[in-house]
Amino acid sequence: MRVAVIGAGVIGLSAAQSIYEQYHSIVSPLTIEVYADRFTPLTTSDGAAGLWQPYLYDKGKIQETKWNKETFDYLLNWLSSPEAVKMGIFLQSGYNLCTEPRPEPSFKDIVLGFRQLTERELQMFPGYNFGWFNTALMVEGKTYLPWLTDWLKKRGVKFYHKKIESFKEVRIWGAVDAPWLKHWIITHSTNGGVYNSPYIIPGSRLVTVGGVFQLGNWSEQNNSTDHENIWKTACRLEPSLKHARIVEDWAGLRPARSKVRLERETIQSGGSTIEVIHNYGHGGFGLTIHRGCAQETARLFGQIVTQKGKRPKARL
Amino acid sequence: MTGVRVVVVGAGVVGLSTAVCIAESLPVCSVTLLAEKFSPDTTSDGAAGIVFAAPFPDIPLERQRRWFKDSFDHLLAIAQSQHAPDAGVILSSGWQIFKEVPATKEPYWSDLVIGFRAMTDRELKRFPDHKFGQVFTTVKCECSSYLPWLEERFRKAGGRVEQRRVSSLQELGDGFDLVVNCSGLGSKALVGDPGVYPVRGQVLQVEAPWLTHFIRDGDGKTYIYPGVHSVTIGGTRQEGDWRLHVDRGDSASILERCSRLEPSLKKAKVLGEWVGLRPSRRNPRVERERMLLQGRTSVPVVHNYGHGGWGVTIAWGTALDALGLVRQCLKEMPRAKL
Repeated sequence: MRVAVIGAGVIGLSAAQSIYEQYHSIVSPLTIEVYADRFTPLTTSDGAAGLWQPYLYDKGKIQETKWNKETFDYLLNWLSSPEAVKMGIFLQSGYNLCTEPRPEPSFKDIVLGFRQLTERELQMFPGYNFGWFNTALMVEGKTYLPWLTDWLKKRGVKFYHKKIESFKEVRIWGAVDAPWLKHWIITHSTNGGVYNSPYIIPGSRLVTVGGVFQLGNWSEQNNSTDHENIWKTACRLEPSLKHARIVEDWAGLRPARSKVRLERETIQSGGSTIEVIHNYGHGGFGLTIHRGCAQETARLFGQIVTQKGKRPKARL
Repeated sequence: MTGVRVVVVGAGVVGLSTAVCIAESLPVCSVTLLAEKFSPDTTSDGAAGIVFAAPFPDIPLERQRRWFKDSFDHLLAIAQSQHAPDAGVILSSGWQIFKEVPATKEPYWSDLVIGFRAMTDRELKRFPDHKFGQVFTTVKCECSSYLPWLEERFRKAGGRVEQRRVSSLQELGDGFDLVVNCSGLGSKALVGDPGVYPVRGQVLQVEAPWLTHFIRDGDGKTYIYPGVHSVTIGGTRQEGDWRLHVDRGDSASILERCSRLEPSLKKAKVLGEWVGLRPSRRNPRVERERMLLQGRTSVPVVHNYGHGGWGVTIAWGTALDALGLVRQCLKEMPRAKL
């Protein structure tokens, strides 16, 4: 069978990985090819701060919460291996801050050590009077994607450059040199929207400072007023940022959708049928949900394999 | 009262903290800081500087809590301010784990740090050799930055710094009205205190920027402390051992023990090794006395030494305590003379 994976961000590469893992010994030959217009370090996944954290509430999309959990547990398992460093995964604890009491988030039982913030902690963040502390995982795209690419290339997966179009939402952030910060801080505003309130996420090299989220903006040019605002509010949250050297700034487009599209579609083209598995629309939680979606993609692939009678016949 | 000449002996974290407290709070004192060694050559410089404590057997619990709380609150305020990177003071979260369930599950300082609680089973799973653990957020104070930062504060408050080896407190009677002794291990000779002894500690600095939490074994011998620019791993607790040179066997043992707790350390590049002698005593000595010094009838001496491996943890609290003792000494000074 011949499989084309469109997209070489975390979703595409991990889907390729899951399909290979589960079917390379069942389907022979199994040719997997990755097509994309951008590869690491230029994909959206590379620009992500890399904090594993879903949006606070799944709004009934329990399948997505299940995939998030699968991803967390999968990465946590890798942590005990020395390979973890090469994958760009590590633990980091931090604070989710709100301006008023809110129901517990969908990820409370998935992360480690989830609890409410104490009075003392809330005093550390003037302007916020409710929130949570937990230990979560970091998955740094700039390291994880090369690791995945390497993993796939070693197993014969080929990569090809091709141009694609898609619907996105812009976000703007900056990366600063502030190695003294060891906790992430995410604030949540009540007037809706996600990630349009400041956040500070330390990575293994630099700290991502961000918080502008505009639906439907196609521009990838940086907006200087947005920059000013993010910076000002972030410094109020973390005064030591005043001394941090700004290293990079970045405007990225998150691939948003009302919910993740992960399903099959059969397309007629000329006289033949093409089986398509869609796995897109992961917005600002691609790294967070990638493994769960990749495994589901492989499961759907399995259905196709069965339909086409490609499974090895049982020896009777 | 004007111009009380105070000398503080010792420029480690305890000496500098005490000198700053006196200089900033008592303008009537002109304070001189005398020491043989300054940062980066003090015992404090190599310390990882993570703040938590062990109880001292003979000091009333309330006083120990006050020492801890004063120090913690002082450092937390710095960590939360724009001065954090300059002062080398940061927030640090992590785990203290025990191979056997300890007698005291909640140490005296558990309500003084942030978010203290027992580890969940899931969190303990990462440490298969350990049965119990505590998780909390504390502060880390890196003396290689903190001491110069304190020295700057000291000078701004009018303090004077002099590099000099003091062989005996006798030398100080002539030029000073009040002596504050923060000479750590040096007190053994300087004050003739037989209760002072070294506890040798060796550490390695490694490059592992992916480590964001501290991990400490409750036995105090194995620990991993991520800092601003490197991770300090250790250690050893060799009582009565005066060796200041690096021991290869200790390095190997440290790497082995720490890698067992945190396998990713196997990939970490070793940046350096360091040895320090914890200036230990059964209890820290924070008290005053009068001494007969050369040229004078008697001079008040305030002692603040013997903090062992808890110098960074209680430096500010004991400095404030020593400041109180200095105030008492000043009250007793004859006004006519000054």
